[in-house]
Amino acid sequence: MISFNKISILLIFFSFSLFHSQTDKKDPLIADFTYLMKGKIYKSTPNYTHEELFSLQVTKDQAFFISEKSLKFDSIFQSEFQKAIRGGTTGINFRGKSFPKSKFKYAIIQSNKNIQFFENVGMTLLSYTEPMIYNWKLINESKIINSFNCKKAELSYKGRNWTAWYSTEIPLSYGPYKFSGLPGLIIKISDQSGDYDFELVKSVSSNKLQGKFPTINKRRYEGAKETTAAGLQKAKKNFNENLIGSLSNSETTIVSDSAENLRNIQKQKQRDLNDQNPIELVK
Amino acid sequence: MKKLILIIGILTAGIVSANTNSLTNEESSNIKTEKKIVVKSSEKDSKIVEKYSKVLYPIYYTTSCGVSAVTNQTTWTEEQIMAWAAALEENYC
Repeated sequence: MISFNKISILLIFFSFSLFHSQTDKKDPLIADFTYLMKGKIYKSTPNYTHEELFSLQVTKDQAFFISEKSLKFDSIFQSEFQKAIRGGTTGINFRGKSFPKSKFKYAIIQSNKNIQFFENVGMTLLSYTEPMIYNWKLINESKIINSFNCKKAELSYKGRNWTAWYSTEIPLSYGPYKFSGLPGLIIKISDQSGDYDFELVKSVSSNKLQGKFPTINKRRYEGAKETTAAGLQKAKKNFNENLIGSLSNSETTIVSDSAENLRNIQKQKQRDLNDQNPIELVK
Repeated sequence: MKKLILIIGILTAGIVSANTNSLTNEESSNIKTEKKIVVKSSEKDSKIVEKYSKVLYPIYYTTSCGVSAVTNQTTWTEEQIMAWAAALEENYC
């Protein structure tokens, strides 16, 4: 007769297998937030404030931060692409179509270990990793923002001084952009010079997230080539100076009558890059 | 002993089910589209390609702002072609 103890050991073993069989897949969403970014993004037009929505999608161990325009781009592009493929053409011609395009093509993954930054430069996905932000200064002040009780924190980060309002009512140490590491979700964070501001404008209740997964496309963060923040900046500069040449590495050739068009795009990209008022003043 | 075998049987079925039931939305949609588009020289393979693929190589892509590009790649899956076209659209337009 097999003892009760042996059966218990077997049960524990199988429960363990059952648990681990589930964890190698993508984790489901546990929270979904939307932030409105307001930014004076160009030096030449200091009175113009660019506004854009960003999504913060939280799973068990990490949070994905990406522009909502990038999410829409991926969804619409995939749909149009599949239609074009089914049309049975030898080429895909999207001339004249309109796709939502973000001015911020990066994706950021925050976790309790580090911050990973991903951005496509030309045809290559580059990424760099930074440590978590630990040097927050917690201030004994509080106020209510969007019905959340918030506490104040300050941070000096890459050349800008930031004031954050976080809420321990949402015990997630995440926030917009790379800002994380506080004992509650960041509800609002502003650069003290008034150039940049992120504010929580929407949150999806957890009962509406059951069975849902992050909607970020894997091409935004998988298979990236590791570099540094300075390396990524240098790659962007090189890319903007030589759009056509950068394609040769990906076995891609620009059709000759598009070269002039591309030269004009290159000039515009260079102007934009030189005119940028970046969120990080120091790399 | 029979009870023990029964318990193990149920748990094993649970594990198999757990491993096959946790696809994400993205993964499950990719399954439908991940027919490999490969141009091979052999007759048998050509028939397979005819059946599944409607893209002919070389692949041309024209962005929404009129920049046309062609790739020499001939073994990409539909997913890889799409990632290539999306990168062109986002970065060369």
